Amino acid sequence: MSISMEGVFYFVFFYPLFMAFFWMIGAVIFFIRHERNAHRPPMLPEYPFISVVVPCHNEGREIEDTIRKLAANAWPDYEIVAVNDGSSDDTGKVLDRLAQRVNRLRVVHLDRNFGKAMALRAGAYVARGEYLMCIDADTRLDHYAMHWMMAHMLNGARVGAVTGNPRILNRGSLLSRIQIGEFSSIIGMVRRSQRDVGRVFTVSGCHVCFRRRALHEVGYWSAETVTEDIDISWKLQLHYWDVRYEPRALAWIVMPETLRGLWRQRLRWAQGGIEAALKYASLLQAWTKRRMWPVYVEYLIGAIWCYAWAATVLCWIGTQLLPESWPAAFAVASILPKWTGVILAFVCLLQFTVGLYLDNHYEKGIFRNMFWAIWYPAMYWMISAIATIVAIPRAIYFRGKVRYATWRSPERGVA
Amino acid sequence: MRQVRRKSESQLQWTVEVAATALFWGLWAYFITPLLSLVLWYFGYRVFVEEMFELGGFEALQEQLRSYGLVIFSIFFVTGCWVMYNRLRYGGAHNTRTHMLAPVTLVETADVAGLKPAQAEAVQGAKRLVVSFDDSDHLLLRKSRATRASTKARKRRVSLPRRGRKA
Repeated sequence: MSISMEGVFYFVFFYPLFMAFFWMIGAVIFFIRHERNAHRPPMLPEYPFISVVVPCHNEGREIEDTIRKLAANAWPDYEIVAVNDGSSDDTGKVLDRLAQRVNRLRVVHLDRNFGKAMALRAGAYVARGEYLMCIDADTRLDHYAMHWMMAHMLNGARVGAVTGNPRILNRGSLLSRIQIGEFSSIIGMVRRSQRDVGRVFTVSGCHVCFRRRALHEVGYWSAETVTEDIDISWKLQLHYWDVRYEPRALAWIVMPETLRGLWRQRLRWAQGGIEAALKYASLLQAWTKRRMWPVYVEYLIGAIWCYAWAATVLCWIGTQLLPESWPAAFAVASILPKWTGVILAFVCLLQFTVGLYLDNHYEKGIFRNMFWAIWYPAMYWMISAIATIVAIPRAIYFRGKVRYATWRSPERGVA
Repeated sequence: MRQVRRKSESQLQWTVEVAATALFWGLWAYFITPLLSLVLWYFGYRVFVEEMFELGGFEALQEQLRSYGLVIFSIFFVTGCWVMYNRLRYGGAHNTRTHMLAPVTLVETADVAGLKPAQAEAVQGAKRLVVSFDDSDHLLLRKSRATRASTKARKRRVSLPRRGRKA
């Protein structure tokens, strides 16, 4: 193996290892600083009026349950603004019927599908509150989630958004059970460690509270991005608004239970990430935007890692299939390193343990899912890496060509 | 709130999933075979000494741990410096935004939505709306139904003009 190929090989194995340590320690520090001692919903100095905006596109199966749970929330003063984004199923009829029974519910119908960003905009324009809680149509908000999020809003003048802790609602298939480990061991830990550093890559679009003043200042959501949550997070933070993470603000979400649905979702996430990276690349030249540099660099290195991983695997396959003719400079004899493999395996297990331990405070019995967590590195790393490899050329190709980014909800499989 | 949703799986599906997961755990165990060997070597001291010291296994492990430790330490040193810099530069007395900004007014919302203030007020009081967007991403009102919350709008007898889509 040549020195350059050896460098790629080491990068492929070392990067996940060191990031795992970074996330674990960051998450534990965050837990000790912010989560350890407060378990009851906070008493607030005031309980301002909140508008809960729920964009829906073909969510006839889920929306009724979501609205009913939402209408029974513990927050004293709020309205629900459901935005039917040009659905072709019975979502509109269900909402109109619900609006007759649920006093808090107001319904906005868009005359065609404009995409989630524009649906959110419509919701924000017709909403009355200064605080906008945006949830997906398949998100069941916890009884006290708004209390936890509003505590940040009321105590920090700089706070523009607070993102919550999404939990998996459906556990009927292997795919959804694997995602429990992912949300605890990866997403939750990444958010915690990013908050330690000061900036987060993205809020959870399915469960986030915004200050309208902040949204207004940055021009609300961008219609052309496939992941409006990544874009709005970057816009807010580049305008010096804080984006906080509140792990005690729980919401239960429905995740895809088919491989095709999962692939579409991951491809969209990856494309949204690269769209944001391209759109805001100039921030690297601006000293005043330096607080976003770590997030940007981490994302770039992650994207490079995906290509490095693919190159290593391809070279290994080439070496195995064509041992005689494969160039020696690109030969990879084994992708199973000696002691590195041992350490990787243990770090992986340690990461799952730490992630599940932290989330066990909010979801008792989650450790039972440890058995399924082993799939994560084998399957999700690969799916996410391949999705990133595919998404980058797609994002570059479609850049500037799309007016309204619309997408189909992920296939959730059986209900 | 605990509201986990499960579906009933067939016995075959469940068995296949458990078996496949067990297979991955087997793969994980394969990764740690050197460690298992280490334990086995412990019971055969001579072999252990031969593998770990004479053939350099222990040195290789030491070298790996040393290089890992160095990189991990560097990452946390840099991150720690960054966090401290942020705290010192932006925290406490250096926080330049300590007062709450005023809420967005109806006029401001109307402006960004492309509506007149009276229209925006009526929209914010409507129970049911049918809307669209024009090419400038301004709100176009198609139909609305007022609610009790829009008493102010009703008192002022604000009508919602229908606007056509811009060409």
